[in-house]
Parts: sequence; C-alpha cells; structure tokens
Amino acid sequence: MAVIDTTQSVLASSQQRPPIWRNSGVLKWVAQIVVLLLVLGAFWFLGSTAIDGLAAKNLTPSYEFIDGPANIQPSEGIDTAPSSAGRLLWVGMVTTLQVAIVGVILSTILGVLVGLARLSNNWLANRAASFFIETLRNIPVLVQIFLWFYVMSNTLPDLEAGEGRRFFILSQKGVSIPRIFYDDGFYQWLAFIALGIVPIVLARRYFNARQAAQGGQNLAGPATLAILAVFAIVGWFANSVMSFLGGIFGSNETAVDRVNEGGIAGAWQSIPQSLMQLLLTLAVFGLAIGFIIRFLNSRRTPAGLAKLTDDDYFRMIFAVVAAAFMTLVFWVLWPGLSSWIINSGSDFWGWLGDKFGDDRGTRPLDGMLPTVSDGRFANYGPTGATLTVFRAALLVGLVLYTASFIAEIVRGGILAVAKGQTEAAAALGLSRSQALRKVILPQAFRVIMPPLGNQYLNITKNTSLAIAVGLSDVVQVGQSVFNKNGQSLAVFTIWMAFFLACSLTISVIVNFINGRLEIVER
Amino acid sequence: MEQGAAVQAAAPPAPPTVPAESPGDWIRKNLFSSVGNSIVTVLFVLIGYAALRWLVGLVLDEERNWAAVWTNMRLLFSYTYPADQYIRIWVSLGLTLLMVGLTLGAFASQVRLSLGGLLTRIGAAGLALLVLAIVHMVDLFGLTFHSPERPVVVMLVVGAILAAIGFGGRQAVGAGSDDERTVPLFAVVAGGALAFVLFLWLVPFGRYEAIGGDVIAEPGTVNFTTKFPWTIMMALLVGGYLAGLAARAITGSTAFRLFLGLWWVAGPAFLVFLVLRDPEFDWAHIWSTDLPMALGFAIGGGALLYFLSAPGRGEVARIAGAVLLLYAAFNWLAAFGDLNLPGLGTINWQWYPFASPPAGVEGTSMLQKARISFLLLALVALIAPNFAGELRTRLRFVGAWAGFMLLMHWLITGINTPSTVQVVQPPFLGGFALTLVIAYYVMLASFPVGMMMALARTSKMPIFRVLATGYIEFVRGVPLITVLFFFANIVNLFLPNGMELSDLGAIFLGYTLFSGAYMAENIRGGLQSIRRGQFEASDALGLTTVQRTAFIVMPQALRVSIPNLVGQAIATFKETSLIAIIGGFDFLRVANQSVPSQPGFLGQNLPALLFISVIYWIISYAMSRGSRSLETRLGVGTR
Amino acid sequence: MSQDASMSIADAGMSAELAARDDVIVCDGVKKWFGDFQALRGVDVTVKDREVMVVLGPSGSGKSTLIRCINRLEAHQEGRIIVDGIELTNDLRNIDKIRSEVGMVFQQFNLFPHLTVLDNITLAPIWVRKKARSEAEKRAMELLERVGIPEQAEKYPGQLSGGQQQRVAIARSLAMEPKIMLFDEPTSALDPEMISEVLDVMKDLAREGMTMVCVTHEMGFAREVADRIVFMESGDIVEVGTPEHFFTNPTEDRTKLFLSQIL
Ligand SMILES: Nc1ncnc2c1ncn2[C@@H]1O[C@H](COP(=O)(O)OP(=O)(O)O)[C@@H](O)[C@H]1O
Ligand SMILES: [Mg+2]
Repeated sequence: MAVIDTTQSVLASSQQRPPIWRNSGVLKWVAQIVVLLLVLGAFWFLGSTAIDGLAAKNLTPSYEFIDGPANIQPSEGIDTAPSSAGRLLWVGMVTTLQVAIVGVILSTILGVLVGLARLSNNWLANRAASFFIETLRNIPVLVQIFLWFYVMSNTLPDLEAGEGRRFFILSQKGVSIPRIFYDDGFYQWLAFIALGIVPIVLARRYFNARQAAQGGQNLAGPATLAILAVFAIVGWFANSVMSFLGGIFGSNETAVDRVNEGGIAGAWQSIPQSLMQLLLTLAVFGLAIGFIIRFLNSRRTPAGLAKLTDDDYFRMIFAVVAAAFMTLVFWVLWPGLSSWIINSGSDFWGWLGDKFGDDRGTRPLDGMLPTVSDGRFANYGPTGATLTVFRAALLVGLVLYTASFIAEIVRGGILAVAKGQTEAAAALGLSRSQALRKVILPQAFRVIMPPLGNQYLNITKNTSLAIAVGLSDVVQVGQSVFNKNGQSLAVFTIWMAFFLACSLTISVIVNFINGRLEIVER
Repeated sequence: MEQGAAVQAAAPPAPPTVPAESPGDWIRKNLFSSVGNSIVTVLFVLIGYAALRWLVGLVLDEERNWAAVWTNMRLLFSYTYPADQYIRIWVSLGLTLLMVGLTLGAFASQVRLSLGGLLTRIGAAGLALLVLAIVHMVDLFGLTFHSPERPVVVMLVVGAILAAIGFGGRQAVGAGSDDERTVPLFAVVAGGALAFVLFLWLVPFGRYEAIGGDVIAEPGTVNFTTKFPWTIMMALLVGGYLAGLAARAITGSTAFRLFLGLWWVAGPAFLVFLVLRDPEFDWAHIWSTDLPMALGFAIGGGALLYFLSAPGRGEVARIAGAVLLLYAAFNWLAAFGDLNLPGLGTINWQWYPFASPPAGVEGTSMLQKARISFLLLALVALIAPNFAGELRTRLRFVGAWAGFMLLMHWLITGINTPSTVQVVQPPFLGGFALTLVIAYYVMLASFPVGMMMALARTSKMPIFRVLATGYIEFVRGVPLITVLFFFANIVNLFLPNGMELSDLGAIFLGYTLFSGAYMAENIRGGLQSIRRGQFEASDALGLTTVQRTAFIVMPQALRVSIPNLVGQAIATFKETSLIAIIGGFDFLRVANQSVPSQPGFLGQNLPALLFISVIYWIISYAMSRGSRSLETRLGVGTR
Repeated sequence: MSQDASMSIADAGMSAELAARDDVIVCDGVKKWFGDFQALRGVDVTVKDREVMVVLGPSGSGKSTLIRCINRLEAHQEGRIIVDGIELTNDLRNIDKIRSEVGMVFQQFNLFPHLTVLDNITLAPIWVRKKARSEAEKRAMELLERVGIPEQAEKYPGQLSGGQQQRVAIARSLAMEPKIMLFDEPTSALDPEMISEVLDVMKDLAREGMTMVCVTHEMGFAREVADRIVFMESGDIVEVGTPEHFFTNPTEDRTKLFLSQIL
C-alpha cells in the first residue's frame, strides 16, 4: 500500500502546464509564426516602397502595355512584325521553347553517344570522349556561345547577294533548307480527319466482334489505317465543308466589340464576372475541404480518430487559409483575374473559330524554298526553314556544353548499375553488348533520369543567354520592352511565370517517366 | 606560359603504359581487338584529325591577331587600373600567393605526386604538340604538305623537347609501378614557378605593351614591368610554401588554423576594399564616430554576451534575444521612412532618432552599421546559451564577437568611403580580378544562406519548410540572367530612402541569393545522408538543437557534400561570366568588347575569347581535380 | 478503481525491499501514436531506485518506443511520465534536465564518426554540463579505463570493433553522470564473441547500483541481474514479475509462447 501511496503522490504533485516561454510546443509555433510574419512584412514593406517609388516616376506597375503596340521588332521568330507587346513576348517565348526543345533532343543524343564512348574499351574513343567532356564542361557556356558565334561569322562564306531561291544555303548568316508549313486549310483538314473517328470506332467494333466469333486475323488495325487514309485524302480536297465550325466557335476578327463575337466565344464573354468569382471560390474551397476530408480519413483507425499532431493541424489550417487567401485574391486583391479568365476563354474560342471559315484557302500544307532578298534571308512571307547564325551559335554552344554533362551522367549511371550486374549478365552468357542493351541500360535509365531532368532544366534556363548573340528570345524581347516603357517589374513577373511554368512542366514529365520506369521495374 | 597552358589543355591524359606489354601488343589490344573496335578506331582517327586540324587552323589563321591578347594582358586581368598605382595590384597578388603557399605548405605538404605519372604527362603534352603541328602541316584529304610556318616550327621543337624529357625521363626513372617513385608537391610548385620565371627572362616571346593608345609589339623577351614583378610573385609563392612547411609544427594549433581561416574569409576583402580601392578615410569622422561605435558594439555587446553565456542563463538569454530582435526589426522598419498602410493611415517615423542620420553627421553608413550590428547581436544573444561554459569558453565566445564586430565595422566603413583610385570607369576593379573576386565572395556568402535554407527545408517545422522550399524551388526554376537583370535594374527601387546598392553590390546580392538556393540543395543532400541515430544520440546526450547542428550534423553533412559543393563552386565561377551581359566589365566583357573595339584590333574577338577560355578552363579543371584528391584524402583519414 | 488495477500490474513482482525504495520512473497510462498507428496502448510501469528492469517482447511490440518516450526522444501523447520527480511535458527546462539525467545506449551504437573516441565522450560534458575540457578529458579517460579500452582514445569510431564501439557508447553516456541508464538491445548488432564484453560492463554497472531499463534478448543477463522483467506485446504490458517467476511459471499464455520460442 505504501508503494501506491508514493506513486500517487508523485503523480499528484506535478501535473501543471509549463510557462509559455519554456513550453517547446508553444515556442515552436511562436518562432514559426514570427518568422512568417517577418518574411511577409519584409515583402510588404519592400513591395510598397517599390510601388511608391515607381508611382513617383509615373511608372505604376501594370500589365496594360501588353495590349499596346510592340514598338520593337524581334530579330527573328514566328512573327517578325508582332501587332502588340504581348504578341512580341509570345514570339520570344516560342523562340525560347524551340531552342530548348531542339537543344534537349540534340544534347541527349550527343551526350549518350559521348557517354558510351567514354565507357568504350577502345582507347581512342575513350580518350576522345574524355577530352570532349573535360574541355567543354570547364569553359563557361556563355564564352562558348560567343566563340561559336564568331567562329561561324568569321569562317563561313558570305551570303551571296541578290534575290533567289535555292535548295540549300550555308553562309555567314546561317543555314537555310526547304520548309513545309501549315496553310489556311490545315485546321479544317484536321477537323475533317477527326470526323473519321465515328467510322473507325464502328469498324473496330465490328472487326473485333468478328474475330471473337470466327477467329482468324483481326482486321481492326488495318481498317483504322485505311479509314484514316481515306479521310485524309478526301479531306485534303474537301476540307472546306468544315468551315461551318467557325460560326459555332465564334471569332475574334469579326467582332467589333467583344459581345458580338457570337458562337461559343460570345457565350463565354457573356459570363458575368461575379459568377466566375463565385465559381473559382467554390472550386478552391471544394479542393481544401476535399483535402481535409481525405486527410482525416487517412488518420481514422478502427479505434477512432488517431491523435493529431501539430503538423496535422497545420496542414488542415494551411489548406483553409490558402483557400481563404485565394478567395481574397479573387474578390479583392485581383478581381481582374476572373475577367481575364473569361476574356482568355473567349479569346481561345475566337482564335479557334478564326481558323475556320468560308473565306479561307483550303490547302492544308504548303512548302517553300529558301529565299534570299537584299543579301539576307527573307524576313517576311514563307521562305525556307532558316537556322540563323545567332540561333545556331546559341544552339551549338548549349548542346555541346550540356552534352558534356549528360555524358558524365550517362557514364555514372551505367557504372553504378554495371558493378554487380555485368558479372551476373556474363554469368548468364550474354555478350557485352547484349548485357548493355538488355540488362544495364534499362536499369541505368532509372539512375540517369533525375539528373538528366536537371540538365533539361538547365538547358531551358540557359536559352536565356540568347540575349548575348541578340537572338529574340523571351528575355531579350522582355528587356527591350522594359527599356522602352519602364515596366521592368511587370516584365520580370512574366519571365518568372514563363520559366517557372517550363521548369514545372519538365519536372512533371521527368517524374512521370520515372514513375513509369518504376512500375515497369516491379 | 599561356601558350603552354593552352596546349596542355588539349593534351589527353597519358596512356596507361603497362611495362610488360610491347607497344604493338598495346595497340592491338586497345585499338584493334575486334572488327568493330577497328572500325571505331578508324572513325575516331578521322574525326579527331578533322577536329584538331580545324582547331589548329582556327588558332594559327592569319586573320587572328594574337597581339590583341598579348598587348592587353593588363586590361584583361585588371581592367583599367591605373599604371601608376599598379603596385597595389602586385601587393595584393603577392599577399595572396604568399598565403596560398603558406596554406599549401601547412596542409598539403604530405601530398606527393607520382614521378612517373608526372613525366608521362609532360611527355604526352609534348606528343600532343607534335601531333597538332603535324596535323596542321599534312592535308590528308588534299594529299598535300604545308611547309611549316614559324609557330608550327616552335610547336615541333617544343613538342619534341617535352616528349623527350617526359618519355626519356620515364625510361630513366624506371618502368616500375607509378606509385613507387614520388615527388613532394613542393618540388612541383617550385619547379613550375622556376620554369615560369625562366620563360619570362629567357624566351624571346616578344615585348608587348599598350601605352596610352599606342601598341608596342617588338621582338625580345617579355617586358621588364611584367617579368620583374612576376619573379617576385613566384618567389613569394615558393617562400610562402617554405614558411608553411616550417610552420608545420604549429599547424595543429587552433590559433594557426583560426588565423588562416580568418585570412581566407576576410583577407581578400581586405585586399579589395582597402588595398586596391585605397579609400580616402575621413580620419576625424573615424575617431569621433566610427571607432567609438565599433568599440561600443564590440565591448557593450561582448559584455552582454558574457553575461548571457553563463551556465543556466538560457531563459534569460531567450528573453533578452527576443527583445533585442524586436528592437532590431523596429530599427529596420524605421529605415523605410513614412509607411502608407492602406486603411490604417500613415506611420511617421520622424520621432524616432535613428530613422535618419542625426544632424551634423554625414552619410547613412553609420545607421546602416547600427542596424546590422543590432540584428547580429540579437541573433547571437539568442544562441549564446548554446556556447555557454566555463570562463575560457565564454571569453573565447566574447572575443570572437568583438573581433567580428571590429572587422565588420571597419570593412563597411572602407566600402562606404570614396576611392582615390583614378579609373576611367567607376568600378575600380574589372577583368579577371573582378570575375575572381565576385566568384570567391559569392561562394563564401551563399554558404550561410544555403546552410540556413537547407536546415529550414529539412526542419520538422512546417512553416520553415514551406518557406525554404518555396524560396529554393522558385530560384532554381528561373535563369540566373533574369535574377541578375532584376537586381541590376530594379532592386534599388525596393530599398528605402538613404539605402542604396551600387551596381556591383546589387549584382553580388542577387548572385548570392541565387547561388544560395543551389547551395541549399547540395547541403540538403548531405543532411539527408545522416542517419537518424546521430540525431537521437545527440538528443539523448542533452545537446541543444544548435549544438547538435553545429557539432554533429553539419560537419558530417558538409563532408558528404564536398564533391557537390566544389561542383557548385566551379559553376559559380563559370557563371560569373553572365555579368558581362548586364553591364559589368568582367573577364568576358573585356575580352569580348573592350579588346575588339580598340582601333588596332577591331573585330579580334576570337583570339581574346580563346585566350580567356583557356584561363577559365585551367581554373575550373584545377578545382575539379583538387576536389577529387581532397575527397580521397578526407575519405581515408576519418571513416 | 481502475487506477488500483493498473497499479497492481505495474508493481507486481516487487519484493518488499524493492517496493520500499523511491520511484524513479513512473509511467501512467502512456499512449503513443505514429500517424494512425498506436504503438503504446496505455502503459503503466514503475521503476524503483537502483532497480534493473529488463523489457522483453516480440519485435514491434513497442519496447523501444517505451524507453524512447522515457527520455523524450519521442513525445507521448496521452498519460504521464515522471522521471526522478520531473514530469515530461513540453517544458524545455524539464526536457533538458531529463536528458542529462538519463543516459541511453542504442542498438546501432550511434557514435559520432567524425570525432575521436575521446571527443565523442567529452563533447556533452563540455557543452551540456559546462565542464572544463581538461576535467572532462580526465573523466573520459577514467571511463575508458573502466570499460577496458583506454588505449583507443585517439582513434575514430570506424577503426574500432563493434564491441569496442558499444563500450565507448556506454562510456559516453556515463560521462554525463546519469542517474538512469536506458539500453535498447545493446548487443543485438554485435558478433557473438563480442556480446559478453558489453554485457560484463552492464553487469558491473548494475552491481554498482545504477538504475537501468534494458531491452534485451540476453536471457542469461536477465536471469542474473534483473530485479524485474516486463513482458510487452502490441504496445501493452502483458506481465511483470521477478526473473524467477518469469522463467519458471509465467501466468500469461502469450508470455509462455514467447519464452518457448526464444529459449
Ligand atoms: N518513427 C516511427 N514512425 C512510425 N512507426 C513507428 C516509428 N517507430 C516505431 N514505429 C512502429 O511502432 C511499433 C513499435 O516499434 P518499436 O517500439 O520499435 O518496437 P520494438 O522495439 O519492440 O521492436 C512498430 O510497429 C513500429 O513499426
Ligand atoms: Mg526495438
């Protein structure tokens, strides 16, 4: 009994809450909230100083310049006489994306080849690859781009003067080859081919059923191809029957004021702003509540709800706060967002509608030879596909530099896998190349993928060095825009949004591929 | 020298010569072991021939005027630093080389290089020169043979000599295993320095100089104003090494390590801001204001920290730190002047004495120093209990604070004092010197940023994690050039009245914040490699979070991250070249713009660009090799 | 009423002499969740001064979780834990006190690989106990002497054998002069020939009167030095008793099953 007494007295004596300045649970959250407030406060103060300063210079940040005139011509791109500053930025973005995508493809091919050569047991190949890697990756990529630019413009032949069309032109100003491009009827043609889906589905169903019943060869595949071909051929000539779609989608060109666009575009336009705000609010709260319900469900045990920790509460509170904040954004901070969404929706349908119509030509595709006028590549009208020396220097510089990193990644990945697996493969009697193709490469791919994704990100970001050679990518045109109108803050946010979107896309793709690889593995 | 380096850049590492094999066997085994192998060999011979021939042709082409490089050496390396004050450059370089020597002598003296490997490398370099010369002379496709011009003859002769020394020496040393005969690092450093000096004094490289606008390019050995200082520089390097060797007895001592560490953190800043920049100090102001203020913070702050670091004052320190932190935050707020809070009216700070400089005091650097010092004091007070201990520990802690305060105040004063150096364009530093300084300090400054962010991102506290992750992923998602544009163009808009960043300061800040995000990811890799048991053992022993981080977690994490950190240092160094785009006269900008716009060298971009490529290459390559050997050394010693 | 019932389990198997001693560790209805998994389901146990308590149980039964809650490497969510009169709450002062009064030895040793053996041992005395370095080093050498490896002081942990590492880990904990030592399967990661050298050190400690809670599967050790043995399963204490009671006629079927598997 004495035992129980002492225990009871110990238990009774000390149940009390610690004072808050010693309470680790409280301090932890106080520290976090203080830091959060400091960060938000710093942003707030810095931001308001900047906006005041800009306003004093008559430069209150706004995005209105986007609809204003471009004032600047890009050196090259999908449109060399853009109608608005927004269009100009879009031209720059397309150029950036083009360089990035081509760069990714080429540097991957080259990098894998060099990486394999680096592993080759041929001494010369091995040393040459190692020389390639060690040289190129230790010189700044910007220096390399400049080097290639001057090497090309100093050593390639002059672009012969005079007008003319040729099949292939290599010169100081760049390389040009014949090009195929979409013509007016392209979208109508696509829509016509899309009509073929109905017969294709019917045919597949029929042939699948027949094979199930009678056996024999399944003709579903060939039938699909045949139907597609028929629709493509007929559509080539008859695509103008699809022009009625223009009326359904609406149009941007014919609309005098936005409400008159008609079609789906007009319908979008007539959505009231407050309805859109309401829909957005409902959507974010739906997401937040869905998250909380799913979260609580995951914490539910047969014995009732599990004890929730600070972090668990944080997650739920965070979800609600984020939703509330977004609501504030929709209604107070940036009400324009809703009308922007409405306008863009309408613009999209109008844009699509403009691809159709009776007054358009009906040829889906066309081709063109390289054209020289006034001693330079023609800037206007369809001409050949030209790789200007600016773009070539950027591309070659980026590709070689990135390839040297990819080569090391490939080599490292293969070596990481090869250690144990080569022997296992050899024990199975596979030849060296069989082992490489069937056993090692598929596994190495998983090791290689994440750092490879990083390199893709790097090459995308490094396209911004286009400005060094005067190629009109998004950074270069952005810079010219803010040099003209002083809207540096607005342009800066556009850059950020663009590059963050690119980065996000790349990491989503890489993660997706990685996920697929892991499934295959299991 | 530079030419030699360029060629070495092109030299592939030597073939592994296994003694038992005859050359014929070796070739058969490594180049023609199978049909496929033979095809690869032939293919690579052709590709290699074409590539090398193109490269040599590019360098030796008559249109390349290499005098553009040789006459502009000073411009390239130190931009327009005035000739009559050039001694400052030499003093800075000399001190740096002396300390490099000292550090090497003290810490790398056991490093020995394989003699055989060294000789093989020399021989391979010679061989590469010969191959390049021959490739240039023989036109395989046209089946013609050029008679060699002068540079090619030089290449042939030098190549032959090097190959003879290398391979001959190799034979003489004996064809044993590479590990048997080694030479100390000192011999290599001293030999290299000697070879460089001999080259300067003996080889008729040509005398190049640009005086005013006139270009001098005449035969002879290198200019006296170049070769004489460089001889002294090399002597300092070797002398420093010897001193380091002599000091080996005390290298283990904390004081010596502290001295070296302090030098490598603060020394370069001292050279840049006080020696090179030669500020015109206003001594009256210094005695009356700056010095008392620095002493006040050093002594007053020191006393406070002494009090707070006594054992058992943890809670007092927490409260004192929190109060100080509030005060520091308030101080910064006041710096922004009137604040318009929508809906809340305007906050006016006029009543607060430290909102603007007191009457009669010029400049805002004083207020700036106070703001920074208070903030630091608050942070250090918060962590003071972690470094509490017996008297000696506390005194050391207080001493470190006082020393740091004095150093910081002195440096900020130096930076804010106008320079006396008469330069054409405002930044007194340009060319390679600028590149090097920016790269060095960005690496150094981004380190604490990265460490904080990595710790926050791996922390258990969700808000810290969210903030750090947001910062890191945001920065890593955008290109450096846009960040630099932002900082170069608009960051000053964000600063309150009276605070201003110079162009280079803004670039430095932007680059540091950018680099910090990458640093954070590298350090995070190291942090994640630490097993949970290490945290648990520290906790079980009663270490505080700060102590656990400083003594247990970080040392291990950093060791693991060394390869990545060096990789990032190399990237930082290379990417400094982006400064050229946003208007700084760095190495690249000088080579790509200043040199080719000189009347005598119009359009000579290629020689200068090729030259700087070689310099960039040497430094990056040396760093990556150095890190590899450091890794192996650290890996052996401790685990 | 329920309180009484739980006490009777917690204090079962105590001799009168043991029962008369002070309580050093009191666990009262301790519950602990990991996410939605409950690892401790209301544990009641009392450890007396200078008692050696051995905790047995199948893998995953919550033995480690229990002793990690006792020095707050894990925070329990319900119930109370009182160690040497100090209640484990969010109070930082209490946590600091507990940490320096309770030593812990881990299955994986968890020595600091970048510090020498000597630095491993002196780190906490210098920075937590605020001792002078010289004093801490002197004490460290005494402890190394006691665990039998004074000659290894300047080596790094990676250069020692497992048994030596575990003895250093014990010395490291003892350097903080703890009142209580917790052992979490200290010999499970060791090669058989090294187990006894660690057990010998532990037996010495027990003989000198250290209060110890040991999770271990060394039945010989349990039989020889334990005052009481606790058997846990699925986060609950199933049975408490003297070694004699435990190894000769355990009352619970689950205990019998476990013993039959392990012996
Ligand atoms: N940090 C943790 N997170 C989630 N589950 C854990 C954690 N630690 C332990 N557990 C779970 O708690 C249960 C008890 O673990 P433990 O106390 O280590 O068991 P024992 O030491 O008896 O083998 C196990 O089922 C284990 O999976
Ligand atoms: Mg366990």
